[in-house]
Formats: sequence, structure tokens, C-alpha cells
Amino acid sequence: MMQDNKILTPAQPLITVRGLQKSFGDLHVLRGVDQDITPGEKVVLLGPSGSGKTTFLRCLNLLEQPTGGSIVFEGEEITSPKCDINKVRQHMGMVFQSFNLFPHLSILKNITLGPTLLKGMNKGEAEDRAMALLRRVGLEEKAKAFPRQLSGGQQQRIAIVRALAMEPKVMLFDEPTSALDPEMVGEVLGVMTDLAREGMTMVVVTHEIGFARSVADHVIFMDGGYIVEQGTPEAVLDDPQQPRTQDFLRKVLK
Amino acid sequence: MNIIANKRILALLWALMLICTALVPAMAESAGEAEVPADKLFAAIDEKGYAYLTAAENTIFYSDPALTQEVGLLRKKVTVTATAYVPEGQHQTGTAEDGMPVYAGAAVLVWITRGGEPESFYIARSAVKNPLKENSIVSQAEKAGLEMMAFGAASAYVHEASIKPLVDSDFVQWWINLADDFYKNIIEYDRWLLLLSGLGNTLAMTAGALGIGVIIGVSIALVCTAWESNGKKMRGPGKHALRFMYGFFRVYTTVFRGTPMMVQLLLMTFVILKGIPHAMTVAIISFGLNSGAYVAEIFRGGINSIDKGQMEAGRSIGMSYAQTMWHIIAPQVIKNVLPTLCNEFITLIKETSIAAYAGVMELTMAGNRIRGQTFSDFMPLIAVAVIYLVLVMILTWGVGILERRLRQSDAR
Repeated sequence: MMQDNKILTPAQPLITVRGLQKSFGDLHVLRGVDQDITPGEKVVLLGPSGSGKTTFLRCLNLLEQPTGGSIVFEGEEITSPKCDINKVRQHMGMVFQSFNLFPHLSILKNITLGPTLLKGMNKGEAEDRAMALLRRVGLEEKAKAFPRQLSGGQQQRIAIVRALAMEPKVMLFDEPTSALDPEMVGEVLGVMTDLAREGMTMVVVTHEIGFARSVADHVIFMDGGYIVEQGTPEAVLDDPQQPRTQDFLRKVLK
Repeated sequence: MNIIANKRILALLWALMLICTALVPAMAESAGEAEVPADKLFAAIDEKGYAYLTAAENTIFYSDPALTQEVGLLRKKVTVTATAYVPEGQHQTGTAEDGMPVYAGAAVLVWITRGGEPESFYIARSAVKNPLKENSIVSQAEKAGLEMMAFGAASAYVHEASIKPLVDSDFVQWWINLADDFYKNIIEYDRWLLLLSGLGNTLAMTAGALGIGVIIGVSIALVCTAWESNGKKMRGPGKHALRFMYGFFRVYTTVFRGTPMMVQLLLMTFVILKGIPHAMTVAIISFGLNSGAYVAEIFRGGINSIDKGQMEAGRSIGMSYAQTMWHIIAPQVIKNVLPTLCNEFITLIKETSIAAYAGVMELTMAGNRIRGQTFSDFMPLIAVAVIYLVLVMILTWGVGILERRLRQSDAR
């Protein structure tokens, strides 16, 4: 079904990455990455720690400034100095490993801050929309609570809602379940799966192979700053061609 | 927390002491009144040189010798006019104020109760010169006797005096002396007005310096953290401006934190800002500049203590650096630095006391001025200390409330 969707969408990519490089001093984390991400596509990035997958994701919305190459988002080169990155980021939601909710603001404020401040939405409208989103993730009764009163899984679901409130065109997930207790992983993956079904473009860095298998259109395995192998989940996860991919999957699936 | 608790105990002690200071004399007064004889006797000398007691306005003497031992605990301001008696028949009058007449009164009483004859004055005088050692009042009276001799006194009356038998207790006497002291140093000649204007200047200096300090401190902290977090990523002239400001502020904090406040104040007053004639203004600027250096470090630490993820989360939504600073980082920083900032303000309040050296009539200086007028040390200095303490406690209390309100997001 999803494959059909992908075929039906025009091939115009939402994000085009060319020759992306990033180094921290002498440490080369990305050594030239090319990737197209089309609208509605679900891309899962796999790889051992230090492989550059998180850095790649963070370069997509310039949380890390690339040291080489280019990223084009909706036809605009965001790596150019002339680009207003704050405008671009409004269309790229991001979910962090450590949730990063604003602890001094209530859940509702966490969600409405962006739309009211950046999109000029009035408070009532922003709150109505926030409540609708909270209902979708089953947390509407937490609207008045503060982040610290919530469990990790609840906080991460709120973080997803906070990003969605900006109506992004793409959602970037940076190991969204890695900081969670095992019993809370499911609820977050559930929300992400729902989001994928609704057609959101997603780039997900994760170690959840099951999620990659069931949701991803495209799986990318990275190591040493390069894309080692990529393709459909079936191809990469069930029949990996590269020894490094095989080695990694053997360790992860054990 | 411990410090605050200790301060509370101190405050309670002080409140207790102040209440006692007010209450004990009042109690003594009401207790004493019942025992004061209806007759107010006037001690005088007749033409032959014999002393007699007579009723007169504002004059209270006891004819009972037993009571003479308890005389001397005069509470109110006392004026004794001693009419000098010389056995040859000449009368002279002298007036003495404060403390001393108390003893004069005692000596006269010794004399009167021994018959009031001219010869017995000498007996009385020798009695006060060679007092019964176990009788403390008489031994106090010994000094009085010397005073009496100085006046050549033969009779005395006491204006506005209430010579009252009180509980024979050092404790009560201590409180009464304290009340006397309080009256003399604080109430009399409206000396409290001096303290009040000093307090006003202290508060004005603290508030002014605090305002300047916070403005400077926050600016420095913002510039320094901006440079440290993304100075390297910047391009163009903004980068050079930021780097210059960063360097300047580093020198600034080093200099102002590395030299004594006193030296800075004197330098400002007598060298750098010599052209400004208003001592207060110079002091406010000096304290403000100094405080700014400390406040900067407090805020810098506060900003750095906020998880980097907060900035990233704000930026990832599309907020600018400044917007994230204002809406996300600042509220958390303020909550975190408030206790430290409170300590800085407390330090500042107390530190303004050195402004006296720059010629500012602030609270400590006011207390010192009173010391010079009354020659008392205890009461003016204690009064000043209590006022500072109360100020600091009020501030601590206020900040506590603010902190609790800001901490509502920590509720679990």
C-alpha cells in the first residue's frame, strides 16, 4: 500500500542532500552523503553509534552546520548563508532522544508556544488545535500538567505533538525511544506509526528494527560517515549485502 | 536553610528583647505606682541650716530609711537641682543632668534620713565615702557624694523624677538601663530621624546599584554565552563586534572582581569620577559596576547550567536564538540563579556601608554619628545592626515567596 503511495507521488524530492560533510575538528563524522527524501516517504537510519546517522539527521535542519555539501529543502538551498533557517525549521519538526520539553511551561504552553509566537496564531485557536493533537495521542487530560509530572513515554508523545503543532512537512526523529523504559517504547512507536499512516514524511534514527520493518519505505544503513547500504526494509534488513550491515544486524537482532 | 533558620531565631530574640524593653519599664511603672507615698516631699534647708521635707510638685522622697537603699533606679530623664549649703549659711544652686543626679538624690536621702542636720551632712558624706560594702546603692552613692561635695550641696529636689522601689534584681535593672539607653540614643532629639535618612540612603544606593548591576551583568552574560556557544559559527562584522565585546567584558569582570570594593569606591570618588560632585551618585555607579561583574558570573553560570537540548528544542521549532533565550532559557535561568542573586543583593546591602568613606550619610554612618553625640556604643551600633538584619530578612522572605512561585513547574 505504502509502496503504491510512493509510486503515485511525483518524484520531486522534498529534501535533496548532496555531498554532505561534517567534521568536528579532526573528526570526520560525515564523509559525503547523498540522499533524496520524497514527500510522504518514511526513511529509517540505522547504524552503530558513531556512524554519523544522528549527525546526518541534525544536519537536515542545521542543528549541526555542515562543513561541506548542500541540502535543498523544497527547492531552497538551506545550507546557503542567505537562507533564513528559522523559517525553514518551522516546516521541519524534530523529536529528540531526551524529549527536551520546556520544564517551566505547562504541556499546553509547550505545544502552543511555537504556533502563537511564530505563526501568529491567536491563543484560542492554538489551544484548540493543541487539544485536538493531545486527544490524538491520548493525553488531553495532561494539558495543564508540567513536563516533570509525566512519564518518559508521555513526555515523548508530547514532544511529538509539540513538533506537529507547527504543521511541519517533515518530521525528524533522533532516537526517540532510546531514553525510554522498555514498557514505554510501545506507546511512542504507536504514535509514530499512526503518524506514518497519515502520510507524514519522516526521517527516523532508531535502533527499533521492528519499527523499521513495519513502517519504513526506505532503510539506510550508515557506518563511518558513509551510507553503506540502502533500500527497502526487506532488502536491507532481511537480505543485507554488505558485511558491515550483516554484522550490525546480527548484533542488534540477537 | 540553616542560616535562614538561625536568622529567624535571632529575629525572635531581638523581637523579644525589644518587647521587653518596652514592657519591663511599663510593668515597673505600674507596679511602682501603688507603692509611691501620696505625699510628695520637698527637701529643703531652713534658715538655720536644718533640712526638712515638704510636699512639692514633682518631688518624691521617701522618709523611710529602708527605702533609701532602693533609690537610684531612676528611669526617666532626671534633673536634679542641688542647692548648695555651706555651714556658714550661704546657699548655692547647681543643676546636674543624666546619671549623676541619681546618685546625688541618693546621697541627699542618706543625709535627710539621718536627721537633716548640718552636722549629719558630713555624717552622710562620710557614709557615702565609707559605704557599707554590702549595700550597693550606698556604694553607688559614694560617687554621688563626690558630686555633692563638688556642688557643696545641702538640699536637692528632683524634677520629673519617679523614684520608685523596684524589684531588687540585676536583670530588671539591666532592662531598665537598656530602655534608658534606647531612649537616649534613638528617641531623644529625634535621633531616629537620622537613622531613617541613613536607611533611606542605604536603600537608594542598593536599589540603584542593583539596577545597574543586573543590567550590566545580564548584558555581559548574554554576550559571553552567545560568543561561547556560537561565536565560531558566525560570519561577517557581527563576529568581530561580538569578539571585541567578549574580550572587553572578560577584562571588566577580572578587574572588578579582582580589586577590593573599597579601593574601587575611593578611586571612583577621588580620581575617576571626581567631576561628579554628588557622592551618592558616584557611590551608586561604583557599587553598580562592581555588582555587575558578580551578577554577570551568576547569570553566565545560570545560562550554562541549562541543558543544551532546551536551546536545540527551541531552535528546532523555528524560534530564533533571541526568542529561545527569552521564552525558554531566561525563565529557567532566573529560577536557578535567584538564590545566588539574592545572596549577591544581601552582600550589596551590607557592602553599601563603606559608602561612608565616600561621604555618603548612609545607615552605618548615621549610627556612628549618634555614637558621637551620645558617647554610647552599644545602642547605636546594635540599632544599626538590627535594621540591616531586618532588611536582609525581608529580602530573603520576599525572594523565598518568588522562588516558590517560580518552582510550581517542579511539582511532581
